[in-house]
Amino acid sequence: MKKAQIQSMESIVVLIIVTIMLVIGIIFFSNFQGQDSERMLDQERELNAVSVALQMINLEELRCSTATIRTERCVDKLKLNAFVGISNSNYDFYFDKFGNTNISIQLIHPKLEEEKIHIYSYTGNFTSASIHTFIPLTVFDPINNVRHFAIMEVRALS
Amino acid sequence: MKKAQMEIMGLLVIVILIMLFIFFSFLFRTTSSPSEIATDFSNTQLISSFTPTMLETTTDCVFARNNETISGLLNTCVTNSARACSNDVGTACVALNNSIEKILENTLEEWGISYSFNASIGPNQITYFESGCNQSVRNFRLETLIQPTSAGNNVRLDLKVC
Repeated sequence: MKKAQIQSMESIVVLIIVTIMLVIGIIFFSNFQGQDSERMLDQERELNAVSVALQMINLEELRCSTATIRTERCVDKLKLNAFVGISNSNYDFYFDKFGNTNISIQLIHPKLEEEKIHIYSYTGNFTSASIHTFIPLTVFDPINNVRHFAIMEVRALS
Repeated sequence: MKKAQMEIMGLLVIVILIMLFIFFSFLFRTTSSPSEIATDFSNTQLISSFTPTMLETTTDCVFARNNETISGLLNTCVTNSARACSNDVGTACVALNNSIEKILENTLEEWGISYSFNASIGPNQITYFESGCNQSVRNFRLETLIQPTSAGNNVRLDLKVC
């Protein structure tokens, strides 16, 4: 093999190595980009769940009030029971607020027979669910004057 | 420059390129780790609302025909620990412990979250619950609430989540 041929072989090998490195780099990059967009979607869903939970706690239809003074982190049990029916019959209106989520309130202590109250359920199709968002709140039963420790669970679906 | 030196320089350039490639791929990997704003916010909401909500909760203990709240029981437990509930659920301190235990068991413990809950006045412990979050654990989130009592002292309530 002549010296010139060896030199051109060297150049070709270097070119091949650089090309392989570039291809590996592109594969890595596109892989990370794909994972990133999935993570972004998950994060978006979680943020949505948190925002829905906060909206729900502050929803005028549910909040406890005594002599027009509103109580923080408190849901009136009578309003809550009434709201379950309203949210089903006005699904389109509440879909704009709560979107693809399932929202329920679980009474922890003191417990009742009916422990979990489903407030809003997304009726469309979904393939995956994000992690749940739990927010503690008080459910006030004005008839029996009992304040239940409860957990609002918001599940974002996609 | 001799030919051998030139070749060594060429090799060095290739090595530097490979190192740069490895460095950037690691850098990209670490910077693109998911930001956990939502999870963090959710956890903060959970922990910060937990103790105040718990204090407002009605218990099984009845004093003067009214069911006491945990906050009321805490006050009675500090000021008159021997006082018994009128419906045979034990003293104020026993009823307080039972109520807090039920809430913690059905929430944090059920979700597999390690926690410790401590109520104390200075060095005197009133109640303490723990599940996998003892003092040796370094990485934790602490939420403290000060609850004044009718005796004039303050109860410190610490919820630690590891």
